[in-house]
Amino acid sequence: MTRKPLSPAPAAAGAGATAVAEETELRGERWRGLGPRVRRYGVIGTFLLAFAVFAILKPDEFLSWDNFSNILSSSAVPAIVACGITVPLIMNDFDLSIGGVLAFVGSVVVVLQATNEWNYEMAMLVGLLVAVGIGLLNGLLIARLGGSSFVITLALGSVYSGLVLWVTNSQTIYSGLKPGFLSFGQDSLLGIRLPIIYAIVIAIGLFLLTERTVLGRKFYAVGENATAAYLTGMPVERLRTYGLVLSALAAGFGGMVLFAQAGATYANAGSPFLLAGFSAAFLGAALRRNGRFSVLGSAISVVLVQAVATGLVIVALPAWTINVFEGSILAVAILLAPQVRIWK
Amino acid sequence: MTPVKNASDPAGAANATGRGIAVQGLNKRYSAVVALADVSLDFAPGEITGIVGKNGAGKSTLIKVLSGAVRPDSGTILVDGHPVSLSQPSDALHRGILTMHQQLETFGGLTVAENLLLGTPQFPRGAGGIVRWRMLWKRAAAVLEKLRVEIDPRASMDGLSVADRRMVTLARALVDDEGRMVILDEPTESLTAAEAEHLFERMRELRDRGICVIYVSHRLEEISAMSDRIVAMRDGKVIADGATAEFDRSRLVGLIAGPAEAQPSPQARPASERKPLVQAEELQGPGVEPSSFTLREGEIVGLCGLAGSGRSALARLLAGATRAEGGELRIGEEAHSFGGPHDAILAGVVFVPEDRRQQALFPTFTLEEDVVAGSLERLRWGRTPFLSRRAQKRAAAEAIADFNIAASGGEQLTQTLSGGNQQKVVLARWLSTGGRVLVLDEPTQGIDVGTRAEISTQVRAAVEDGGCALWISSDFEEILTVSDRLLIMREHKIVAELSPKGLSQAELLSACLSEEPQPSEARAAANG
Repeated sequence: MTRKPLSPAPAAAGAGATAVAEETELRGERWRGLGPRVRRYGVIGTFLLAFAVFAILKPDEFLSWDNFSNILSSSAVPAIVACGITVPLIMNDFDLSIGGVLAFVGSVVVVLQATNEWNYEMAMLVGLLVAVGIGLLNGLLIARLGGSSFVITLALGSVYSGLVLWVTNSQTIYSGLKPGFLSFGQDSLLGIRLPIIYAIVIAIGLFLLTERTVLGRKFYAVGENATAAYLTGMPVERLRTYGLVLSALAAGFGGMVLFAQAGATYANAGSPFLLAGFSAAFLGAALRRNGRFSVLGSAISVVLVQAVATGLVIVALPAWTINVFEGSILAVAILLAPQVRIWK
Repeated sequence: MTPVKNASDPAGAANATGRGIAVQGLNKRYSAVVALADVSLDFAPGEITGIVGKNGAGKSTLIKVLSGAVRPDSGTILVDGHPVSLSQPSDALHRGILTMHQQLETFGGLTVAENLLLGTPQFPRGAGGIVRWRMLWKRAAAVLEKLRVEIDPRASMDGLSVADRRMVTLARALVDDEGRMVILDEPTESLTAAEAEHLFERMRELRDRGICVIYVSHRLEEISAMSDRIVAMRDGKVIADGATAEFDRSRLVGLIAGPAEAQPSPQARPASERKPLVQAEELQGPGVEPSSFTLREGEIVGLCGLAGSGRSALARLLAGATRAEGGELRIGEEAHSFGGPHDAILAGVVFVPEDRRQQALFPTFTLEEDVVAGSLERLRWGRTPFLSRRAQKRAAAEAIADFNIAASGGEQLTQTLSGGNQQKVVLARWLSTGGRVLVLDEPTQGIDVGTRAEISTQVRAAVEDGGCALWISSDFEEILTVSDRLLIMREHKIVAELSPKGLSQAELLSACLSEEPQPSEARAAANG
């Protein structure tokens, strides 16, 4: 028939149940002793092996300065996005709207200066405010009203992607971009391209925030046990909202950099960053000794993945292998990141 | 009245061949805990058996064995004299054994009729599995008619009161003629007196239709009024079994509480001249009816009550985890209304929740990180937003030493610590926030004796420092030892205040059980 079995915590056998729980926990611990080393060195070893193969097959191209700087350049925007989504991920919130946010905020900034003739600094400021607004909306729906972050951000991501077509009239906009805006994405400082510098600054900033401040410790506490964090007096709703605002801000800023780099808006600009960002975040967690999500782990992983992707191009494997590789990375990384409790 | 089995009958003899259900030689252990020890009982058709015993006596395990949720380590279950194997709940249901759990498990969105008949052969299906609704309503109405309850079979289950939902669950026993046994676990929990009385009438209806009814309750008056026979359990054993008439209240309480143990007398503490630290006036909130009490400086106050009496709800209310809905709460001189735990902490209230794993611990934090999680603001690097690692190390080392936490080092993950050490971490985290009012919900649950003593010493020390503690425990022996004063909670409010001095566990239990006289009708009906 249709009744469920009794709940697993029998009142009569309270002590017994505790003992059983303790046993299961110890069993988990035994695995953990072996796990981290295999996981970390396995991942690092795999990447080193790939690099070795590329280096042997095409030493002149893969090991060149050009390639190195190319890898860093193409890592800049994905790294900015990945560092951003890592913050809500620390609190077990998935921000899947970043693809839409990136394209929408980037398009708003371009449209304001190209079509509406605003000066580009104003346009960028408005862009950042739009990103903050989006983050607050995500926070309201997820942290405050209790919607599933998966579903809410997936749904809103689609909304933002739709709004991109609205503000750009479904056109690619490549004229009317202000020279200042273009140099924001294309100039170099001391021989390093600006987007790389932005990425490094954002990565270090978010690293310090999450791992060195009181606020960041609270982020991790929420991710560990939101109930305990609440009972410990932490403002859980607000902390989760901060996380979603930071990821929207990073995605929006990434969109501006991307369109300034390209000198144009284009359709579906955001979609590649979703997969790249999450692969990097999970890979980063797998790389860390304690298996936690971390901003630096995500940033480094973006570069590693980009390096393999360019390697695949250099050894002239067909373009589809890159998709296969990136997708596989996410699948494997999720299984390797042990502390990630998405299924609880 | 149906025949009442005598306690002196050898178990199984009377009914081994007749219609009815019997268990013989049941044993069940959970690790080191004996939940059932050689339990043999015989349940005759048309008899209401009340089972009493304190938490952990084995009542729930017995129910679970009969309902197929737990398999005994050894022993036999006989249905109509034939041994059967009940390895899952559906087996028990197919044998006509229906269990009504404390937490009702019904399909809220479905109709009464569907709840009644789903999964039974009576559920009317047409060709291709199509539901024949008209037939369904008719059959459901007929079943409800048998139990003489007036519920519209087409009503949504969600729209019914708790009492009506219990009725529908009960009615399942009458869907076909296969129903043999109905087991009710604390069925009157959250029912009003009138609703409970209505339920009792239905139980008698079932009995008169030849079904054996097993009834577990902490409410001794109800048990005495309702049952034909009483079985008392302690430590997994049946310690008494006989006609209800053989048990008066004091015998029942004595059987439940166990032999009187020597009470270590608590340290005498004159309470009167101490300053009141917490004063609650008619305080009420979710799960707490208006309650008034005072906690004074330097005292540990034990909060006693049976499971479901509202102890934890009161603790959560004090800790700001739920919001007060009325009354007044003063901490020191100031009146407070907590919007969340944050406010309570600012007011100096700290809360050690009941469920360490779910509500207190950060499992993959290191010991160092976890133990300081409640006082992060004080570990700032000057006035910057940054966390000072040196301050964290120092604070953590202090706490680890103070609370004698056994670990390989500050880097050990808290989830790998033993239960007792985890509890020390939680306690240390809280006491280091500098709170003066400690609200401790089962702080020694699942912890060995030595650690228990350490924890009570720590709490005592914190309290002597000008604080106070509200200590909830289901362990009467412990609470009589640690507390200076006892508050008794019953039916979601504080009903009495006792001194633990010279109080026996049996007296305390008696105070926690309902003393309200049963409606005379019920008694008359049960006896007549």
